[in-house]
Amino acid sequence: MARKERRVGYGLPVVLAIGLHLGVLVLSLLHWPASEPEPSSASIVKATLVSTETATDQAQRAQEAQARAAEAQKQAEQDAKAKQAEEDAQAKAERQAREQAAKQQQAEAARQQQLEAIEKARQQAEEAAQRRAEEAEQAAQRQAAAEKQRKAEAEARRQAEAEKQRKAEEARKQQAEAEKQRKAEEARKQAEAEKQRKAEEARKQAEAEKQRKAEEARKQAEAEKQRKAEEARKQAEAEKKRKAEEAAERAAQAAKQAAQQALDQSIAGEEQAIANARQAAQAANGFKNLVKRAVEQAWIIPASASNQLRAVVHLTLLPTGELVDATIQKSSGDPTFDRSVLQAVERAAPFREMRDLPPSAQRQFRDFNLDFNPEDVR
Amino acid sequence: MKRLTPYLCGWLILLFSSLASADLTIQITKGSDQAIPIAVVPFAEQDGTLPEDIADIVSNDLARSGQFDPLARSALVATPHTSDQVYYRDWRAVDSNYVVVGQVTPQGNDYRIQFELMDVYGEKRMLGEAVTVSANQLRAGAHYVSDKVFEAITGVRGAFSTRIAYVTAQGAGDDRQFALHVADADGHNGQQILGSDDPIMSPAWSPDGKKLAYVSFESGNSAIYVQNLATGQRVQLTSFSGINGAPAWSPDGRRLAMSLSKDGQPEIYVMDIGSRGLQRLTNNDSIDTEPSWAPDGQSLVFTSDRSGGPQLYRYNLGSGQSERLTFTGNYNSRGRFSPDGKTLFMIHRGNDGFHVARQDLDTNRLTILSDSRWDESPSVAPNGSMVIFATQQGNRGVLSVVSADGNASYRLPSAQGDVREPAWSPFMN
Repeated sequence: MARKERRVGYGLPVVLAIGLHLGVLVLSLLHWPASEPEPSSASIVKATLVSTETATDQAQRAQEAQARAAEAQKQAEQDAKAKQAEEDAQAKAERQAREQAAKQQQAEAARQQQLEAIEKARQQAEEAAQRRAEEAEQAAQRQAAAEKQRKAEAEARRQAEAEKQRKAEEARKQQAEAEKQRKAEEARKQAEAEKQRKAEEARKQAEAEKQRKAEEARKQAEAEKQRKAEEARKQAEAEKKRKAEEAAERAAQAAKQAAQQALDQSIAGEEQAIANARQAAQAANGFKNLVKRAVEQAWIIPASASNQLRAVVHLTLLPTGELVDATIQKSSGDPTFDRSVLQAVERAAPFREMRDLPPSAQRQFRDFNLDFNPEDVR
Repeated sequence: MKRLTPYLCGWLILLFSSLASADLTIQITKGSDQAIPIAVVPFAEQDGTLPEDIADIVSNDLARSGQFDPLARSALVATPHTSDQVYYRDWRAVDSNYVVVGQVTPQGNDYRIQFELMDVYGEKRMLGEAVTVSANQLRAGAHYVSDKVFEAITGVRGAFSTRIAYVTAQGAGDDRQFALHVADADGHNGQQILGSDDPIMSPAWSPDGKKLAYVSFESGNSAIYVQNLATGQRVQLTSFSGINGAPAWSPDGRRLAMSLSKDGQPEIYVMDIGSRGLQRLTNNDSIDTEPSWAPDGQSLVFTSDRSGGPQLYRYNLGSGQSERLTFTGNYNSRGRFSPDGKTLFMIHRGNDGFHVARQDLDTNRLTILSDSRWDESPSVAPNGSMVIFATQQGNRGVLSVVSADGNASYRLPSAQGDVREPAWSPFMN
């Protein structure tokens, strides 16, 4: 886009510049065909090859062309001024000559003179008008040219300015871009560095940890080893000590035993009695549970029984566990129910396990009660 | 002193335990759920030509009640026929609580049945009786023995001499035949008392056991009849338009409750049999049916769907008010009171079908009794110990009996065809 604009921007001024030069050349050729060409162009230039670089050469050439153009322009302006001055001088001389001729021919007939004079005046007027018209045209042409040039200059300036600005802008943009890139690059580099640093750190840490663990394990193993050795040593020591103590103890015990034997023998009977009593209590409890289980198993609760029915049976047993007697101590009021509980006792008896009871416990069960009270009947 | 303390304690323990022994009482709170072991020794007979085995019938009766476990004949240790011959120790040895002995002697055309019951553990003779029956009543004689033994041991009157009525249906389509039968409670001695091409339903025993009320469609419409069993005479009691159904005798035998739809929906009515006067008890938009009297005659239980599904309600004749009795499940129908009025038997729909169930009217606890799935028409034995009901075996309707506690059940010998709607008679004497 910018490139296209630039192309359009250069085209017009070039054309205008060429047009201006051509115009100036035409004017100078039209009015001053006899004028001498530039002395510089005619003079002989002794040229020496300083550099073969085409790029600089071209640039120089462009500069030279520009310089030449400027000079040609200056020359053209000078020429134009000179031409006017000469024209003015010529016009003055002609007028003076005409005045002189008029004065000399004053002798001629006044009428003819007058006619001539009128004719001349007419011609002069015509010439003057023509000249003025030409002058006006020239002025207009000059003005147009000047205007063109001014415009061209302005355009060139604007163009140059725009170019400069664009370039500046471009440069700025480039710089910004570069800056951005630089920063991004920097950040990336930094991140990379950080990453690397961290990885390195982790690696180092892992390594350190590994090392630490290994060290620890080693230490532990060592400690364990030491501890075991210590323990073994201690144990050996303790064993030794214990044996010594035991030996002492045995000796002491033997003496003590000998001393206490007499007393112990005297209490032995009573100790036995206590043990028997405890055993009897335990046995009694076991027998109680046995009777309960046996009677419950043998009791067929009548279908007509309700939860309210309750009967107590008194039992008398022989030490062998045989049932001597079972009587209703407290009747339920329902003969069927009473019969069922008596049958249950009879069915469950004899309770031969009673023979295994210690005599003290046997005494408890010589007679006791059974309280029949069904918890969950239908 | 320090050494002496434990000895002192020991003596104290002994002292207290010996004191305690004077009051030692062991609590017995549970029983065995086994049936009562009993030995029924074969009855002596003179020539061995008796057409019925009395002891066998008695054993079967007692066993069916679920409350007895008769000793197998092969396990009998002796065969005494009188109490003199009974050695209690023998029967103790086989764990029998009771022994039944007896003998049958011909007396002209009749037979005299003597029997005795002994309490083995109590070593006591509990019962000694004799009954004379005709040759074709030997089974009834045996049931009489069962009744007496049952009552002596359980304290509850035996119901082995009672009867059952039931309806049979045979054939299919136009050939379908309906019949009303009466038989012994054990299913023997069945007799047809009515036959019809049209359905017969809802037989109901009069309280004296001499008449049956039932519904017959023989006239093309339902109608309630009452038939005298001895004479075969019968009368049509109702033939209102619509449903004439579910007759139920009042305990005094003078009134009949029933379900009539003559005024719209089926409602409960009570008819005075003498005057044929009709009293309407219920009046609403729902179906009220299957009335049954409480033993005291003061109220009736009936089935109503007024709450949506069938539930049981009690109509109080004094107040004229109905109250709902069943709340367990969404189907409870055909209520029947136990003889003591404390329990209600019914058909209850559970998760897996229709069962006979029992509800305690004090606690309202409902217990499912039967394990069959399509049970209907429960009817309670007059002693309340058993419930007879109809159920399905394959595609056939059969009769089944379950004990009131649900522990025992048996199936009656199957008659021909479909059997349904059993009704247990009252005591006959």
